Amino acid sequence: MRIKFSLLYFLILISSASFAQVLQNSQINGSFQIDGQYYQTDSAIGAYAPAQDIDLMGFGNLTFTNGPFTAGVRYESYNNAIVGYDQRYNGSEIVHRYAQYNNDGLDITIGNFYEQFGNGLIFRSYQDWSLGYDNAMDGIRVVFEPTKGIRLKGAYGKQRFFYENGPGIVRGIDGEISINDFLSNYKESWSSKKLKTVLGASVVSKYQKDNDPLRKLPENVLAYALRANINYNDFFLLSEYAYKYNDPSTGNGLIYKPGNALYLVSGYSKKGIGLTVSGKWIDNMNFRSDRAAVLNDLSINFLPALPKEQTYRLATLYPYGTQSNGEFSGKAELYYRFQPKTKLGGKYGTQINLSSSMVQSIDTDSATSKEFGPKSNFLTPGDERYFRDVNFEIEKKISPNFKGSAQYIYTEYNKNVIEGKVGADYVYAHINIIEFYYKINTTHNIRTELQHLFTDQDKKNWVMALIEYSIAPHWFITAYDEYNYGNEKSKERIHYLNGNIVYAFGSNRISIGYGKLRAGLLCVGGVCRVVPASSGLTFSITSSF
Amino acid sequence: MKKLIIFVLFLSFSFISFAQESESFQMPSITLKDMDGNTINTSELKNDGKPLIISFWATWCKPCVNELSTIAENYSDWQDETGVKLIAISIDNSRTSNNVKPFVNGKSWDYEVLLDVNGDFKRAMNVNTVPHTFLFDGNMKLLNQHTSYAPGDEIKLYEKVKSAAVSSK
Amino acid sequence: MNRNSTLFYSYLLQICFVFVLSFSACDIIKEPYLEEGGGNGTNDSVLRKVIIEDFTGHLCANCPDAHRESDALKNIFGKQLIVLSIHSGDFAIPLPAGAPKYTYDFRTPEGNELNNYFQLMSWPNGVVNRTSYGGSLLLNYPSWGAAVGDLINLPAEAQIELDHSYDSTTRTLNTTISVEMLEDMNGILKVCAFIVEDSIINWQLDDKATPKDVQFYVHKHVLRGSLFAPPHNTWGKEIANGPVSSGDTFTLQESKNISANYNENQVSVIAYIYNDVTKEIIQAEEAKILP
Repeated sequence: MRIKFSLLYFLILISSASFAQVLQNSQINGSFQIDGQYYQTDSAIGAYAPAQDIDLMGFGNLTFTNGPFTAGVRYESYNNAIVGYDQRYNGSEIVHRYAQYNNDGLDITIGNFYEQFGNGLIFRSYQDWSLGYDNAMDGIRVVFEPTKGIRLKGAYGKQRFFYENGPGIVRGIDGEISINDFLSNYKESWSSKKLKTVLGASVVSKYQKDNDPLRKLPENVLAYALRANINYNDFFLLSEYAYKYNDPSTGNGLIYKPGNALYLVSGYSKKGIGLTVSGKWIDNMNFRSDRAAVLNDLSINFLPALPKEQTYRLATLYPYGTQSNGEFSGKAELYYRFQPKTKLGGKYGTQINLSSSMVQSIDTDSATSKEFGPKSNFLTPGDERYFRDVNFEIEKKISPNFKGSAQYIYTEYNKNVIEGKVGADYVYAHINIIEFYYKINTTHNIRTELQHLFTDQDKKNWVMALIEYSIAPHWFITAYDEYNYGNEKSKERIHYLNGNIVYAFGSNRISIGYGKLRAGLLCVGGVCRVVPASSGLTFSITSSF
Repeated sequence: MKKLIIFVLFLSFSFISFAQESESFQMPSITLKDMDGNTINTSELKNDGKPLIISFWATWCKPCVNELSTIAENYSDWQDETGVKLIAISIDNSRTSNNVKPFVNGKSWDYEVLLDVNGDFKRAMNVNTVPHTFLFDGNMKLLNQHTSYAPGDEIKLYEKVKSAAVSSK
Repeated sequence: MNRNSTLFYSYLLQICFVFVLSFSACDIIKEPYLEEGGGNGTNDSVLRKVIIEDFTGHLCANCPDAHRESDALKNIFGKQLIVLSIHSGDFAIPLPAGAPKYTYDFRTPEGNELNNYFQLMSWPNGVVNRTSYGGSLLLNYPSWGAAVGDLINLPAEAQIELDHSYDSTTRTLNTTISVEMLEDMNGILKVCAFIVEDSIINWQLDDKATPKDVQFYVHKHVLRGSLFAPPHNTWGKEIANGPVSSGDTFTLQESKNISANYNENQVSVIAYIYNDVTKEIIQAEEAKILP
């Protein structure tokens, strides 16, 4: 099947290549990336080299554009997938190919495509190489703008499942109207009104045959979502509500009750200040095109996690992953800049960021029917806490050559629930981070990070130090050590020492690293994968053209 | 057979790309929203004959934020001297995209910011990692691309902006 | 595209929209959610038996869902369905000795080897007759019923008989496995047999129970080891390499000491014949060692 499609592209290319004037107006872009790892066994950290010693994986993208016409292919190769990536990626193939025609408000894609409706609560198809995540659709997509301010989308197809397509069919439509843009068709003044409103609605339905001898399963499962985004001067309010009809699956333990989700973000912001308050309710919103699927397989929707996305190494030790079967969370976040030449701003200004979030279970009644599942009480938090954090960060430029930031993070982490590790501790952690930048001259710079994590649970205390020397625009030389000095078992008080060199030129980047990597969870947007400990040499090349 | 097709594909691609030289860049046509919810098509991105910087970033990307904060300190001078415009494309997904406006305002940045929530523009521009910066001259010819950020990169970038401003005239 | 055609498209799309909405497929299932009755309609004298290998763990909170699923399937398919619980992987690791619960080690070398062979990444998970269903070998429990249903009414290609002689005083088991081919075949055929103990009472984590730590959980059809001594313990012995004809018979005699820790009244042997190239199970049989 894929061969046939490749042939189609080949023919398109050959036929287009034969027209000289087509050539002149065409554009080719692309990118590739190669990641590799050479393993060493280090039983102390639980890192075991696979039999093949070296794993290499990579992809290449090519995009051909000619006016309104675009075609592209993506080739992926895993021989094998690096430890920690899903090992079902094994082999090399063209995994993504499409042709697209986009002109005058009509945009048609055949082949593979990515799409998102609203915030993704009922539909998001996307790709993230670092997560090893790709639920690309394979089918047809049409986007149509009949008039300014109105956009309609239709998507139909199956989802990518490694080298195949999943068994279920996904189809969806989405309509969005920007009231101001639409009315400005009739009266120009609407486009400059202070109150801006965008309304949207989407419907997604999946089909999978019912072969179950035990139960009557819904072969067609429908979900819908309604959203409204309102901007008024410096205030904004974003909201989306989603509802999903009966959808028994592995993910929810084959219960028939419907699911729903509510996502609200309100905020105020103007120059120098930003404030947001958000809330999210999720109840039974696991939505996949194969009801038997688990892990990150064949998800139709995306349920963003609310807590702050951490980037500092020790702060990523306890990341939050969305609980699609039920969670109730809230977050408040403040960005404030003391302007330069004020009392607290000093000469260069001072930046402070504050955020806090909390995630609870949802309140449920005891199940009246085992098959239906427990009824939940909308917008009522349950007793169990999943996660909580408080972040405080201050950034300050001290002199023309010297700037720094300090950060304190308090985290509560329900390891039991988030990692599914039973008998695990409920972790309370305090993290302190100090970062300095020192400018030696216009191109030579030093950056240091000092991080400390204090906890009485799990693996106890950690400390980390990092130093990076950069020479603009090409070189980054980094060394860091993560040390689990507080571990109860003296054998596990291990230094995870790493060295890394990066050479960047233009849109290319080559990096080589050597050292030990601790086990952990890598999460993007609330979707996580487990990264086991490893030791050895890593290298990566990425390039765009 | 499949390998052969791939080979021929690459060959024909390189052949076509050989035929195109010094053309103005065909910006992909992707519909994005700005921070106020207005719809913008990326094919319309331009800066009226003056240099244009398109910078891909994310709120969770520390080097990106450093780069944009550093440029922000001198952005008004850059604009006065060369007329350059920087458009910051946030690749934050729906977890963090709703926070972009408060974040940008909180930092007092003056950039035009667009939200590429599902990475459509990022993919179309073949951006693998952020930060990734594109520099176009006044005729929308792609002059330079750069990934990653080391302090001092902004000086090199501004040198290129200045020469682009001169050549665009 | 001019204004008129835009209008045309707009109408067209609106019509499509209404069309899609009216068809926007959604099946709303009302109680009862469960299928009624069932059973199979074959009258063949020799029935095909199908094995579900349920990879499980006592610390896997969702694994009891899979146990309940296989129980329910046994109610439909009866003796034609054989279930084997293989404790292996992350959630089968016992807590250190001295911990108040979950210290019992259910794991076996054979189970661990199968776990690695099938590359399990999540539990519960299973394999039905080691045969792919819908392109996938590893199946989550909601797919088991459909996968079993696909296989179970196919005509039997072989017949297995188990003849036990068990001495309770020495706890020695002598078993004769007789295989008769019912169809012509070609390939490498192997026979393997596992020792299974039913109804072991021990701790199990169960997400649906209150409290979730269940002290007296009944662990059914637990893999205890192989009837065959190493190196044949996991993959059995070859009985044919090349063409075999319908009517050909093969006999294996094995003896095994049954651990005093097992309740001999609950011990049975599961024997199966499989194709060594595809690993697909051709026929299976289960028999208790004591009548």
